[in-house]
Amino acid sequence: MTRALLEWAQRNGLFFALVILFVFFWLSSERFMTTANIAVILQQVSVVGLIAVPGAMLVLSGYVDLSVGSITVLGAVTFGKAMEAQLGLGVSIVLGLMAGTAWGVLNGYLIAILNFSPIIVTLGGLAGARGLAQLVTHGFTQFGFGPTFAILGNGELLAIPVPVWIYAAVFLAGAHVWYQTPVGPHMAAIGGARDAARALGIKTRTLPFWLYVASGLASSVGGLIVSSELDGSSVSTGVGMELDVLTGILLGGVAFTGGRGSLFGVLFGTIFIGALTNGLVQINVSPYFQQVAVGIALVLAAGLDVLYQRLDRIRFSDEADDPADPVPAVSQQPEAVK
Amino acid sequence: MTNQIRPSSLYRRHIIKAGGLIAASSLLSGLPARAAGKKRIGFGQPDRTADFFHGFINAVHGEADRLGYEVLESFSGPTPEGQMSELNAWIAAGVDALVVMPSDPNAIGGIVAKCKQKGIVFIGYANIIPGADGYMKWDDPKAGTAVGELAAKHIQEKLGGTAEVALLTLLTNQATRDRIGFSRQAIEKALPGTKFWDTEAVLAPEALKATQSLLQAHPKIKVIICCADDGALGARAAYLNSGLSPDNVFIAGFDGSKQNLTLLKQKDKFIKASAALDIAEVGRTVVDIPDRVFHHTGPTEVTIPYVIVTPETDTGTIDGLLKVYEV
Repeated sequence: MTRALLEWAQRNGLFFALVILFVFFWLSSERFMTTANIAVILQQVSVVGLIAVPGAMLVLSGYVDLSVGSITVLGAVTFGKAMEAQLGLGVSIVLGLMAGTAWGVLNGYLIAILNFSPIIVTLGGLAGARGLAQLVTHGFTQFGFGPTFAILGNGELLAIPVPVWIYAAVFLAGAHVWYQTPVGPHMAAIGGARDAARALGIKTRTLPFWLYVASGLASSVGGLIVSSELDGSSVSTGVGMELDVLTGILLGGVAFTGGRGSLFGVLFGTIFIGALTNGLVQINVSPYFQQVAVGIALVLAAGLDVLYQRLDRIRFSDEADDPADPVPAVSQQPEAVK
Repeated sequence: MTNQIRPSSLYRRHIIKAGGLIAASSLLSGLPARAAGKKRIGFGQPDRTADFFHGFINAVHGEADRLGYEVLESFSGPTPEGQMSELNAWIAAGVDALVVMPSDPNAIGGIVAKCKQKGIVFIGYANIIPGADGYMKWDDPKAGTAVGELAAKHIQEKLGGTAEVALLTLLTNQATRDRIGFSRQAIEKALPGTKFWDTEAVLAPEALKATQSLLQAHPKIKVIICCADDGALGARAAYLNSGLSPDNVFIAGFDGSKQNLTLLKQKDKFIKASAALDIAEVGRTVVDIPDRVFHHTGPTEVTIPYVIVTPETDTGTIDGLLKVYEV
């Protein structure tokens, strides 16, 4: 039991970076470690976090989606325009979700089926989806969606914000797929060695296609949550979100080249960025220094993670050399399931 | 095994070829055709996301039609390098004037020199550029001071003379720095003991998060000054859902966005001021200044004042400012 815990700890260096960060801000601001502020941090990371779940699966499979921020705004403004046209709340929500999903289908078809470059196609989506949103709205923000829709972004269930529940549900579903079904190892196999995966009968086109669809759907859910929080579908929604999502994924230890990563790492990475931003505001760090502080903290966190991984390798290679040690080296396990 | 071309790859090539042809023809059809005899003005204002943009650019084109000019719009995006290549393309295309909001005012000297060399009129937009033939800018220091004085008055009258003030700014832009900097100065001048909490947030989603964090740390904050109206909406949403009392909250922004002006007209509990520009007037001035340079008539250095809108402002004035959004 202790051994398993130790092994888990050594594979999740970022978790300890997160603990250090929380302790630092706890000591620096008496209001940081309150239940209300923790709820605020979780609410603030929930949109980026839920988009990062399919995003991490794509990166694990050797793909990337850089269009998520723009799909987010497309979902938001589609909803806003539908509400303006008085189509009703339910229909408007469905249309908002469909807009993002349709863009995900387009991404998936071009990239996974037609083998277009993921970076080029999703960079095109980054410009195209936002451009479409601006074209549709002429830059005007639709606002005033009423109290029922406000529940999505501002409501609470058992004192926990609704967006956090949505994030939790998406994360648990993602963790189930990642760790409990064959899809997890399949994604790692596609990301690690696509040709070998294809030879083994893994669906190297269908799986990434559905991951892009999921990414589009998750982005439009994010767009609806932000619209609900703001009570307006602003064209400024989702600006730079693709970088936040990618930072969370990569900080969480998913290899950009695919084939290796942990969804729990992505969870820690996402919360790390949210807690850092919240904490810097709380302790009133000068805005001039905030960006520098974020950069330093991210590099330190990534460094701590790498240090843990190296210690892990050294320790287990020592044990492998020791014939008296009956426990097999953990590093022999497939990386993706860690 | 022979090296055959598979039907699927042939199919892909056809798709790519067809896509390329469509893209090329769309690009060609989108190129601005030079209208006979009309002088051309390249308008380098790359921020097309603001909700007033559509009405604003309509005002620019309307004035251009009235005075007989053709205006080329910017699609370069916010980076200095993107803007440089667009401006160089316009210079190479032989435009007669450039009106430019520089992404980096300190890195535009080369373009100004090139314009001088080629006889192209160069006008600074939102900035005074050394060597330029003129400029148009808005009076951010005066607007910042006015908003700061309003906030100080609110603190004195409604909050007993002391308050914690949050400032949401954007550091990379001179206008937003002036707006917030002069607001702060005005409050400090009236109420020297005021506590300030500042952070960087300009768009509504960023301001929402920043204000949520600020209110957790400093729940006594009642006054929030944002460098743009979009941010003020984010701050409003954060306050609205914070569970804190909405009494005597003062949130102010700049620009005169549609939603903020509408909320002020409706006497909102949170949004209490917006320093608004007459967007249509700004749009017309974009064409008027180069026209004055060409014809040596009227001022070529123009500072456009803000209209400070509060819940007490008469609805006629607010409706006048909102007209630009009716497109």
